[in-house]
Amino acid sequence: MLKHWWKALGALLVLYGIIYGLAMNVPKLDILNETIRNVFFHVPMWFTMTVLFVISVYYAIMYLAKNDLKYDIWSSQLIKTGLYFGCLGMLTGMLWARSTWGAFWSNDPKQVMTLLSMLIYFAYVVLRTSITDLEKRARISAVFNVFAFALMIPLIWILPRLTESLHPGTGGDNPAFGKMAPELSIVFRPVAIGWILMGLWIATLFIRTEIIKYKKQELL
Amino acid sequence: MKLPVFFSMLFMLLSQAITLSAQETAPKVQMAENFYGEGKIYIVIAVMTIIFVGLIIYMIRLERKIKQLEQKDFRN
Repeated sequence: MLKHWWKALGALLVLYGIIYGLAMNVPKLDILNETIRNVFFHVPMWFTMTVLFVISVYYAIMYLAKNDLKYDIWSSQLIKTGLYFGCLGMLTGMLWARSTWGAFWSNDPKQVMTLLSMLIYFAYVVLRTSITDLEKRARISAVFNVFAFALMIPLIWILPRLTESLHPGTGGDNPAFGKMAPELSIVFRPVAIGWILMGLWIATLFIRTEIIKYKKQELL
Repeated sequence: MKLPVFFSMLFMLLSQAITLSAQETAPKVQMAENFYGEGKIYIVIAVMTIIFVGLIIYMIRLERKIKQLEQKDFRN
């Protein structure tokens, strides 16, 4: 029971986001109105995705160093879970953009570059399925993972912040934390941590089933 | 001949008055005050809480099943 505390914490923090995030009084912002509450659900999807990708690249490097297939399983399943959250973030973002910016897709720098980054990670998944040799697949995907991560840093964290964007956090502001009203950010931070923990929990379920699959086929 | 001109002028004046009145009320940000005042948001919160807790219970059950499979030895 003790080693599951972080899962319970994650679930409770997300629950706090659902209950208090909807019930609280939000700042009266023009156009956004009540939809500002989406910040407790849409933004943490991206936080979760990036955290999972960061851990994934760590295991990719560990695989290259230690040549243990377990690291390859961890790395690849973290990317699959991260992409899940990325898709949820993209869909919720497009829905929110429809009401706030007037269109599902308005070629906003952050939209375009996030999509580009996600496509690179989708290519990783496709690449993996095309290689049957396990050692080869693990080595190539680990190298691809490192390059995909190296591309994600400028695509998501640097370039959109330098250009004019519809998203908050451009022109030198610290995104999400810089201009967010204090009454929002005090709720947002724990909720975001909760979603990240939920993402990690789901990822461990993916990893463990994949390990069972490998063991059943006597590959591990 | 005079009547259409009169009506079009009347229409122009009226439409200007409407846009002017719209500009006067613009600064107030529309929030769902009635919805919140009636307390109906708590119904939505309750529904979302039930669904979320249900999904968590499902995940716990799934994890227990995975644990059972992990303890099974496949090599025999």
